[in-house]
Amino acid sequence: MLRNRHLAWGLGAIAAIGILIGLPGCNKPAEDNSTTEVMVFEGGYGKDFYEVAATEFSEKTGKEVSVIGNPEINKQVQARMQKGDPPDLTYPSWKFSSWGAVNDDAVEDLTAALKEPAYGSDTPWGETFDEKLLKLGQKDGKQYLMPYFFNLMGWWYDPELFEEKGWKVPTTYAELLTLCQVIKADGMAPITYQGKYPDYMLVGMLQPWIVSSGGMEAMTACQNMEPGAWKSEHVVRAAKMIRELQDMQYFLKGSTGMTHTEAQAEFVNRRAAMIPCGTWLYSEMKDTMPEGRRMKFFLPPVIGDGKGDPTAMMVKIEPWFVPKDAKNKETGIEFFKYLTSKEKATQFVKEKGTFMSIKDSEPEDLPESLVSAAEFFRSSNQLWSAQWREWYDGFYTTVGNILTELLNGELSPEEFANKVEGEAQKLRENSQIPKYTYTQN
Amino acid sequence: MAGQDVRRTGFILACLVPGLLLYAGLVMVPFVQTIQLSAYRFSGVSTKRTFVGLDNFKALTQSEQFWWALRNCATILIVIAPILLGLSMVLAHAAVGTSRLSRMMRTIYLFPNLISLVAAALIWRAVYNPSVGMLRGLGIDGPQNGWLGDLGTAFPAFAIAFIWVSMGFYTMLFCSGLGGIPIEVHEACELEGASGWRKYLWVTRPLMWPVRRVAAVHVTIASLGVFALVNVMTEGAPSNRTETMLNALYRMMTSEGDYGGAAAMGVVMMALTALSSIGLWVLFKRNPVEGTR
Repeated sequence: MLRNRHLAWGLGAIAAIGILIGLPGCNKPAEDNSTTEVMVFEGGYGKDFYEVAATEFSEKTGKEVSVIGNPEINKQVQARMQKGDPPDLTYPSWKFSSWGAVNDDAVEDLTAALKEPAYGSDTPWGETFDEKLLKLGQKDGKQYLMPYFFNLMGWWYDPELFEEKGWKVPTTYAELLTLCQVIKADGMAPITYQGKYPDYMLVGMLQPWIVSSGGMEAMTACQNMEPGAWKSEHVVRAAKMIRELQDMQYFLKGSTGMTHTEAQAEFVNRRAAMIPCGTWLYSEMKDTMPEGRRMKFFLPPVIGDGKGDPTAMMVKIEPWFVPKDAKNKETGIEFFKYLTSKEKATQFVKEKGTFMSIKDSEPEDLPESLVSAAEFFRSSNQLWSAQWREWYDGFYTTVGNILTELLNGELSPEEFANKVEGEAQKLRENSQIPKYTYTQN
Repeated sequence: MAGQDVRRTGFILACLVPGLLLYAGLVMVPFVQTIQLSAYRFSGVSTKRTFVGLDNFKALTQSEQFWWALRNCATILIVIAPILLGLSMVLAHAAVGTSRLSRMMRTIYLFPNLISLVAAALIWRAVYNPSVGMLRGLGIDGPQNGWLGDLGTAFPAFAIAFIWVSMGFYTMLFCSGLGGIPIEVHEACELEGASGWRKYLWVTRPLMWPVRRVAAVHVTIASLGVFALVNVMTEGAPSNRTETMLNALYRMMTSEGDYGGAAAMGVVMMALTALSSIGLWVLFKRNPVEGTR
């Protein structure tokens, strides 16, 4: 009796496990789905704009579009992509490995769609975009990721404070050193940075200084993982500059451990005079900073005798894409066309205070924080993007960690470059990771 | 009689089946799937999976993140946990009893247990903030890179926070263990003249064996599975110095697009948990009190 009962138990348990293992297989996506789903990241610019646009779009075309957005949407998109039941259009943010999805052939090729006319216009859709920005979403000449709004990378200062103290915005590294000395003597920390996330310093100092020292070729070689590129004299020089600022104690004490909000709070509360950050800084800080605080953008100071173009500027797109397995791809594309129409794009810049990848979408009354950035953008002879960051997530994180070790004095600038090169070598040897080629226009 | 037996079996079955189903569905199936997944290259952002055998494990051994995570979890288990339990035992001796002072002490030390780990992590970030932090306010100046940015101080700083949030629970556990020791034993000790350290070593400690075993099991699980505190406080920064296995797993899975690697990390964690269980079993094999009888 007892033995039989055990047997029954065992069989029951096996059956139960069997059923449960079988369950995920039953979870097939519904075939018929008339509503087009758009999943968006709800960051500093919210999701309201897309929701309003979806309502307008439905009224105009009679096609239902539902917008789902939250700050952690990347996890939902990830789960849906894994199941093979993705949304029809998505902007899952930088938290999602969009290039990983492209590599896995899970993203729709939009090359043909770009040749079709844009929304409410005869111009081919592709021609309404800034082509340099469009190019950032291409692989082997095919368009997978689409730019929408984009950010410019640089440094920030408080114009009121600078005027009051008679400080001049530095354009060269030599000027920066002189200014830092003056600021420090005045009792303020010259520079702070978001050290908990080394990305900010990679973007705001290391890479611009590699470009400035060796020209774009030096940085492109790094992006393309060319043997020896990461231990070139230019990388060493950029690392030396960072080390020098640290040794002179021109960085606000403790910045290496600070989150972006902590470091940025130091800046807006005038405990540090300058900070590297993208053009989202103002909108990110406006609710927590002292009333009336102003900020202006400037390019990372360049090396006086460097080979790089002093107007070189880093841009970063926020990619949108249509998943390959989506059920309503056509409507997904059509809705994105609507979002990128000149009318909507201009409206977005005006409402959200950022830059758009759509040509001529810049309104006349830009917010002050963006005016100087827009001027630099217009006069830049060399726009470039750090694509390796998206292509090789793991390597990028590792370089950030090695940078932290440099800041801690655990590595000398030469050791820094050698260690990064060693990691680059591991990446080159890893056949699992697809390799890309960056071309600078 | 037989009818009652059947009814009883039915009752047990009715109680057990839901639990068993949940266990099978939420523990056993993912368990098997994790092992399976660790043999695939899987970005987690599409349906594509490529069989790679043991490559994910090989990649782990070549990653600094993995070794730091392993090292930190081991340090928590072997160094920090004994400190935590020792401190809790001392505090429990002070907090046991019914006097107003001991009750106040219990409240104070249990408090960190009542707030969420996220809040605790933010409190400690604020304590260590190099500019407006509490330590700075007390005139204690940290290293140039900040308590949480310095490669040398980040882990100790984290460990202090870990001890703070965990101590209340173990203090309470030991308190109840101490309270469970019969009054006659204390009286006997008094008559025999045993007190202080000797009393603890020869009387209290052996009698606390079951409670200490529970604490050891609990602290082992907690040490190997440190996540929320580190995720909010440091996310493994600076340069992996505060990385833990579970946080590394989470990062690989979400932001680094490496589900397969994360699964491999999960398998390593399972193996380590099994090993630790064996270690605990050896350490707490025999109840010393029963053994002397």
